[in-house]
Amino acid sequence: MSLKNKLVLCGVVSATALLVSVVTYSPLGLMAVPMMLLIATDLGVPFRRRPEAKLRAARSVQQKVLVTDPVLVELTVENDGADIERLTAEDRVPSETRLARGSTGMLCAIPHGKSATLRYQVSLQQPAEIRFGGTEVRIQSILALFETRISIPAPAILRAYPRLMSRKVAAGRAKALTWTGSSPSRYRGGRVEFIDIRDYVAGDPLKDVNWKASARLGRKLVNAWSVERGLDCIIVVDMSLDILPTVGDWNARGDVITCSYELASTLIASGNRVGMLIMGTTPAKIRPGFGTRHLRLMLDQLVLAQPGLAWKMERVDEFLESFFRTQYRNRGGALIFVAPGVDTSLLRVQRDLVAKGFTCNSVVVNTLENEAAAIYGRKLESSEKIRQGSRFARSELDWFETQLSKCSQVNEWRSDRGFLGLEEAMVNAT
Amino acid sequence: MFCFSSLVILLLERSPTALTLVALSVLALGAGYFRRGSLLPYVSALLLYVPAAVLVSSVIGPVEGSLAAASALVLGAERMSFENDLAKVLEAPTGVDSETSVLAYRLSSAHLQRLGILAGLVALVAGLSAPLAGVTFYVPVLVTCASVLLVLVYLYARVQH
Repeated sequence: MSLKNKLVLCGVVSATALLVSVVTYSPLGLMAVPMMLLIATDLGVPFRRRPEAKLRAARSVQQKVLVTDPVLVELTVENDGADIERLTAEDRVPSETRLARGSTGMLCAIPHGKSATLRYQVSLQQPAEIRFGGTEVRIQSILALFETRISIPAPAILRAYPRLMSRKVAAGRAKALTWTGSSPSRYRGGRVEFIDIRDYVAGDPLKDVNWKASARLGRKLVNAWSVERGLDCIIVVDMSLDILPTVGDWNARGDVITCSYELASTLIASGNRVGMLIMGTTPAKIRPGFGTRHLRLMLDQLVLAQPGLAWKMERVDEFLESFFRTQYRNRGGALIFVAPGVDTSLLRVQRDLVAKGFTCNSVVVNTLENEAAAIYGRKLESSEKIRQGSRFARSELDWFETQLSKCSQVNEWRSDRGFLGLEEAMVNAT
Repeated sequence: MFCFSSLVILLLERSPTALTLVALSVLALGAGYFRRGSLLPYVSALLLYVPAAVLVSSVIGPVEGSLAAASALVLGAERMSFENDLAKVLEAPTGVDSETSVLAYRLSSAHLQRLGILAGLVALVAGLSAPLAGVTFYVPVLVTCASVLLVLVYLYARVQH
């Protein structure tokens, strides 16, 4: 047990009072009496050393949640040792989480063989994998003059996934972006465009049978549709700290992840083959593939991705050559760059790739409003300066987008509205 | 009312130093409340001790008055200190889990019990010192020395075992 500040104060006051009492023979030194009795009372039984407390902690937390969903964390501390008169536990919550409800502290007594449970709710503002560590426990005497500090491990992993935006214009979103590819879709024969009516051949799906025409002509006829063409594409996600807007503890990582996930989900749902390359602290490479399982794999990589300076967009060409070899040689498919802004390196990279025969598309994640809100929320600048700054930033983004549109098709994405201008594009397409 | 008016007269008319001590004590108590400090209530009690002891001594005698003032202040400071610790846990803006609050209040009643024992012990010591007052003039010295000795024995015993 270590001495606490409170005990030191009591001791010093008592000693001083005693000195005053002895030197002056005055009753003022009687302050020492209750102080000393306080210490003696808190010491408890003097001639029997208390056995050490043996504590165990277990944490219960949901493993997979969506961003901003409240997550209940339960921390149970069990005492297998001697009775604990007073225990103060302060759970260490990862910095990425925000306390939504309750308190992370607990003050209680735990007798031998009993347990106490601390409950609180947290939420995550960004997609991430967070690891809960241990909890800081102070075992104290009841008047808190003596205490022992220990740290009990209670590990748990929580993974927060991005939310998909509601699909207002779900059908053919990829086509609305004119990213229709040349490779046959997995959903061959998808009902994209009606071409003709032909005779039924064994193996034709029943849903294609044109029952009215069959009844009229007396033989079984089926509708013929144009074959859906899928897109063989690679989403290149720019997680470089150079370009990622950061204000205090806020950054645009969550927006980039949500946008990339929405894009990948849409492309896969439309029957495209999608691969991914994430440039950040560590490069994540996922070969093109179909299906929900493949989408989940990409999502996991996105959630784990952290912004960094190690791998920048200048290395994209190198990665494509070494990792996506067949695709690189065939020049097939398209590259879709997702970036939280545009800079000269992205322009240079796209120009080089277009010159080599690649089809490039860009999705610029517009975080200007969120960034302005973060600056405003932290009171870093006046609202007037923020408005001016936003106007300048908007102009800069527009200029870069104009430059970028010379070598690729550019779309903008915003966290509250998804792909901007998509509905208009849908209307024009139809 | 008597205590309050006497205190005001005593502090305002006779001793500006005492008034300063009381003001500092109130400040320390307020700071302890708002910062949820464990030590500040003790500092507050310490600052208030001399004026309080003088005031109470004028009513019930110097030895008993000092002991009573010291006991009341130590008990009060310890409770305030505990309340501040409790508030750190229970005053979460979004409320706390019911089990956490039940456990905390159970500890609070155990703490009150321990303070009751402490009050009883102080009363016992005061009672035992009364006969000594007739024997020797240096009662305060004897009582404080006895208390210190008692605690030293406790500490020694804990270190040895």
